[in-house]
Amino acid sequence: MKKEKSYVSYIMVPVLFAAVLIFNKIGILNPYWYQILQLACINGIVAMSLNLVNGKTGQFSLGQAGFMSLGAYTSAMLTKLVFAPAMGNPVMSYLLFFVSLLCGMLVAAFIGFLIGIPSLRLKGDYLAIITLGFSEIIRVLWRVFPFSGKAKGLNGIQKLSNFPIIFAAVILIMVLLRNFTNSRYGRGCIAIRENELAAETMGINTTKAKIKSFVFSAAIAGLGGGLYAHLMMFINPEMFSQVKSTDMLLYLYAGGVGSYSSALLGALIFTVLPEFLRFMGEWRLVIYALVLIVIMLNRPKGIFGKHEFGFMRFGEKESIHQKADNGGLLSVFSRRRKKAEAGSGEGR
Amino acid sequence: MSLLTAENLSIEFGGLKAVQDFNLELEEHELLAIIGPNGAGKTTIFNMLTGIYQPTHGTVKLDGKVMNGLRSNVFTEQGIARTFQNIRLFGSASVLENIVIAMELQVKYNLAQALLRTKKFRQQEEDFKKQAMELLKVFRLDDKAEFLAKNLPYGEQRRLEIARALATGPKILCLDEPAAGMNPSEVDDLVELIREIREKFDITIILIEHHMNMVMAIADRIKVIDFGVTIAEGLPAKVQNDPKVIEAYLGKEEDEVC
Repeated sequence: MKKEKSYVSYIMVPVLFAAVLIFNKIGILNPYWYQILQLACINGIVAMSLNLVNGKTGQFSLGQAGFMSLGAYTSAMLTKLVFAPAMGNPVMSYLLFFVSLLCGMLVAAFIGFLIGIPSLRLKGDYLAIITLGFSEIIRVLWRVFPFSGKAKGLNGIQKLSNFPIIFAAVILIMVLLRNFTNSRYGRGCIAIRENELAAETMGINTTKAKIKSFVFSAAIAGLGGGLYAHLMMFINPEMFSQVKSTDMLLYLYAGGVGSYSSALLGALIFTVLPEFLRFMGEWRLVIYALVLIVIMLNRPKGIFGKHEFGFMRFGEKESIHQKADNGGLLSVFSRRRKKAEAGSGEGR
Repeated sequence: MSLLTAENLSIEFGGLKAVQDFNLELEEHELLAIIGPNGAGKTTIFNMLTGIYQPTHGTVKLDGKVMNGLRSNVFTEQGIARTFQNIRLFGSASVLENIVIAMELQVKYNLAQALLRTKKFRQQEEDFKKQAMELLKVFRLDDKAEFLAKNLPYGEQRRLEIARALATGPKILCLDEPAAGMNPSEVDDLVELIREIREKFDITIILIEHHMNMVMAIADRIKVIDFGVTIAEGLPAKVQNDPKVIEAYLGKEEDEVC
């Protein structure tokens, strides 16, 4: 078999990174948009983690904000209350920042494991309700505990998240998710999504596979939360309400469920879009919602469908069959082009 | 010792006794056919033999190990694989991926090795792909490896399901109506394919089927089920002439009145 490879998306990674930094230096990207972009990247991380559960494993989780808050509170409390005296020089403070992010991930993963065991027996709507319930419990607990600042939340968190760190996190998470998905673990998830009974009879322990994907997803959401807390420098329980979970779902489904690249792009577009529409005042939310409705009516598989960056496929080309199944804008363009070619062929 | 033993296997759904006292001693390299009218409980027996249903009474022994209460993935680990009456492929995955998914039991790497893509991991994955392509060649699906399973024509989907079951490396293969919805020439092809599989993979097969000519052509032994009860058992020729079997399939000849 002949194998063509394309490395365009590999080159795009440093190019994009450099472009954003340069634009920021020369002032095209003012601090406000720079901040929005960082926020969008964090949303992208969480949307990608949601894709692992909703898109790849076919389970419907509505509790991603809960895991985000676990990561955010754990890491913020660590940097603010525990590690603060030790953070003298930048090296030390970043090192401790990474340690607290890791702790946030571990806590989110552990709670994800505890929640996953009873919840993942259920499917579809029932799983959605139970994850929703758990994420609400987590949110309310932050309001009760005195050390998490109760309803007031935590303020005065050091600003330790910056664009290079967030960008690196996005790339790292993409690599991890790619490697996870292209191994037995991801294949198991896809098998469960396609047909759980058949997956089980092929020797896959479906309960274990589901819990693995759920825990991994929770850990990534925890990382997103940790970065979020240290970007906003302030967190309170209301930031991680149901609205946040719904936002993440929105990014995923509008971008294209089933693909990490689409989830990331969806998060980028739909975090930035309301800011673009700000000149319309109150009307912007109406327009925003309308845009969503139009997208869902015309592109039910999302803007980008199941298309993945070449980077997520190790540079290998997608087969024509996969492309035809992708949906999204790209497939429409290629179909149109084919139609046009066929049309001109007949004309001759 | 027999490969698969079922003793007094019974299952009840509420008050309905779907299968009663099903006994089975499956010898190695045998091809056993289970036949019976619609709703007789054949697929229910399969579901009990592969761990999808838990029997109400009785035991299933695979290779001497009692399997009651275990998950169906453990049944697969013990060497029993199956296909489904209504095709259950992984539709949005490619044909090749369908096979590689079923190689789960051969995987030797762990999560860390997968995330870091170590050499061992990459070698194994390459190996799986190669094995899967070889298997597809046997089933004449190798030129369609990149197709999505849901886009295959019906007959090829059936073949892919058998190939996928074989990819788990089973000792016993359970085929649930593999010829359902096939035309006579396709059935002939399937008979050839099953013969080929038996020779190549040295495997024991249990088959549920309605096509009598197919069953008669390949089965070593036949079990006839009606209303969950075994009504006849033995060589194809003997079963064919059993009055009880004829009655179950064709109905009883009514005594003429007067």
